[in-house]
Amino acid sequence: MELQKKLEILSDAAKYDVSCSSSGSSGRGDSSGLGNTKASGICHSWTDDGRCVSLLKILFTNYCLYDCQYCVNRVSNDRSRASFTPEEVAQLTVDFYKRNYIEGLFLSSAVNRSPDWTMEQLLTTVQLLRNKHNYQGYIHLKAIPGADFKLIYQAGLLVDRMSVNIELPSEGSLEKLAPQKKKAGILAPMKGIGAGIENNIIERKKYKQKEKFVPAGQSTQLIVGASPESDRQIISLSEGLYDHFNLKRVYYSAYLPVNNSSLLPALPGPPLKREHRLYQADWLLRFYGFKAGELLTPGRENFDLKIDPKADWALNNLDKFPVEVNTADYEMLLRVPGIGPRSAAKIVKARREKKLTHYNLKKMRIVLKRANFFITCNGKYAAAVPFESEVIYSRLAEKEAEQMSLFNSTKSEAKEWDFNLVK
Amino acid sequence: MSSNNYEKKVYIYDGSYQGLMTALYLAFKQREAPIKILSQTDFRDDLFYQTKTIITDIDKAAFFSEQIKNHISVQALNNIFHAYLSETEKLELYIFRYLFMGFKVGEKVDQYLTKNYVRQVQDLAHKVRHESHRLKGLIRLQEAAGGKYYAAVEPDYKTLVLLAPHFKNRFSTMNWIIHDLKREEAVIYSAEDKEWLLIDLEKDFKPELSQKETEVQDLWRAFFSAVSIKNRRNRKVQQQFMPQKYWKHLIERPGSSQNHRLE
Repeated sequence: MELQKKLEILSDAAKYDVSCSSSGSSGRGDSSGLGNTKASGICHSWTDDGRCVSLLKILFTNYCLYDCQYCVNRVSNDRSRASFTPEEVAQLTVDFYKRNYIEGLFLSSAVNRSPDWTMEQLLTTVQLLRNKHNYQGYIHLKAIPGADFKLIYQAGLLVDRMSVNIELPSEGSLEKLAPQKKKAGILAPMKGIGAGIENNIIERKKYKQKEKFVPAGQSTQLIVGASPESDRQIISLSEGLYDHFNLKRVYYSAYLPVNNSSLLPALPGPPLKREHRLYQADWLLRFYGFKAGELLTPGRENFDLKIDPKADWALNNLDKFPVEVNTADYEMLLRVPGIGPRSAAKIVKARREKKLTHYNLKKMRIVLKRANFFITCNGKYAAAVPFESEVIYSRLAEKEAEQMSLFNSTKSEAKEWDFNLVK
Repeated sequence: MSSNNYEKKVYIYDGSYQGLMTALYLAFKQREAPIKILSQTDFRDDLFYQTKTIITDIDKAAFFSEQIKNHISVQALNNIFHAYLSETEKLELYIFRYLFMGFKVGEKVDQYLTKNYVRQVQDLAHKVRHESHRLKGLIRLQEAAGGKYYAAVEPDYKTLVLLAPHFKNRFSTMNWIIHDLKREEAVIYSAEDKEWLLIDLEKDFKPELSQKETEVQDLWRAFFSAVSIKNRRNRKVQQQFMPQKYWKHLIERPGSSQNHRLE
C-alpha cells in the first residue's frame, strides 16, 4: 500500500485520542543529534476542529483483535485497515520533525496478533528512532494493556511520556462495553509505570548518570457520555488517579457515536459542553487547590452546563464572598471566579505598592466580567446587582443550554474503579 | 528632572538596540529627560525642540546593560530588549520612564503595575515573546536542493534573534536559513560552525527545493486533513490560535479537512 494512504488511514484512526501535549520533558537533546524537548511544549498547528497539532499522532496498526463497542477500530467494523513498519514510522517522524511540522511522535496501536507482539513493534520503532536516527525529540508511547511489563519498562527508558487509556469511568462499564479488556490489564501497567517514575526520580538523585524513565510522566484518557457515570464519579476518579498513580493528566473525550450498538446511548451530537466542564473541573483540581468533594457532592451529581464549575462552587458558598482583593490571601483569590493563577499573582504583587481599586485591576488586564460579582476593592462592591445567588446566577449563566442531560437517573449501579485490588 | 521648554531635547539614535542603549545611557549620565527618543527613520523635522543625534557606542551600551542588570534586574533588561523588538511607536520613552523608576526602586519596578509605563513595557515585551513562541511552532522549513533547509516568515515583530537560539538547539545538525521577508533579514546557521548569524537578505530570495520535498509536503497535508474530527469542527477556535496572517507560509491548508474522505 502507498505510504500516503497508510498515513491517512492510521492518522484518521488515531485522531480520537485527545492527548496532544508535548510539555514537561526538558533537557533531552545535547546538540549531537536531531531535536530536543521543551518544558513548555510547543503547538505546531491547529486542525479545523480547533485542536492543536503538536505530535504526529498515528496508530501503528488498526487491525484489532478486540471488539470494544465504542471504538472505531473494533474488529467487527468494516473499515480500511493498514499497518506501518517500524522503519516507516521512524522515517516519517524524522522527515516531519526536520521541517518543524511537529514536536514529536505520539504512537499508539490497535492490538494485533497479541499484546506482546504489538508492544514489541512499538518498542522496535522507538529503538530505531533513538538509536539509528539519533532522534532526540519528544515521544509519547501508548503502553498496550496486557503486554509483558518488561517490554513496557524497556520502552519507558526511551520515551518521554507513556499512557494507558482507562477508557471508561467505571469497571462495570468496561465489562459491558469492552469485555475483552480486563481491568487488571489496564490498571497494572499504570501502577507499574507510576512506581517506575517514582523510583527513577529517587535513583537519579543518587546516581546522576541514571537514565530517565518516562520523564514527562504518564497520562490517561476516558470517554465521557458512552456510559451512565455521573460527573461526580468521573472527577473523583480523576482525583484518585492523580493521587495514587502520579498521573500528569487525565484527558476526557466526548463520546462520538462512531458505531451502531444497542449498548450505547443515541446522542444528538458529542457532549462537548459536558467535556468542557470536566476539563474546567480537572484544572480546578490540579492548579486551583480544589478537592473533588467540594465541587460536587452526593445529591449534586452533575455539573451545571450553563455555568462553569468554579462559579458554581462560589454561588454555593456565597458566605465566603465577596473577597477583598487588598487583603485576601493568594489561595482565596484563586477561588474567585474569573481570577486565575496569573491574575492572582499580579494582584498579590501590585497591592504591595498601592491599595488597588477597580480601575487599577482593569488596567492590569484582570478580567472583571465574572470576578466583579465576587470581589470588593477597599470595601467597595462594584457589580450593579444585589449580592444574591439567583441574581448573580442569571447574570453568569450562558444564554442557550444546547445539551440536555442524557442520563436522568443520578444513581448508577456501575462498580467503580478500585485501586486497591491491583497487586 | 524638570527644566524649561527650551532645554528639552529630542534624541535621535540610529535604530539599533545598541544605539538605544547609548541614548538612554547619555540621558541618565547627563541627567536629562528627553522629550522624545526617536530612531532616525521615524524622525521628522522638529521646530519646537532641540535635537541631539546619538552616536552609537558599543562600550557604553554594554556598560549600561550591566548597570541595569546589577541595579534593577535581569528580568528588567530582558523586558527592555523584548519591548525594543516590538518596534512600536513611543516605546523608547516608555523604556526611559521604566528605567527611571527602576533605578529608584530596584527590582521591585515590575511590581508597579499601576504605572502606565511599567505596564506598557511589560505588555510590549509579552507580545514579542508571545509571537516568538508561536513562531517556534508555525515556522515551516523546506528542504532545498543541496540538503539545506529554508523557511520564510513575516512576523509582526522583529523576532528572528529570539528564534535563532531555539532553532539552533533543535536543529543543530542541519544547515538552515530563516528569512524575515518583511525586514529583509535572515538568520543563517551552519552545522559545521555551530553558530548562527543575522544577515541582510532581499525579499526575492527563494531557493530551489529538493526532489523529496513535495513528497513530504503532500504527506503532511494528508495528515493534517485526516486528523480533524468532522463532528467537532470549530474553525473559530482554530483561527484564534492560528491567525490568518500566518497561513501564507504554512504548508498545510486550514479548512482542508472538508475535502478529506477516506476510501
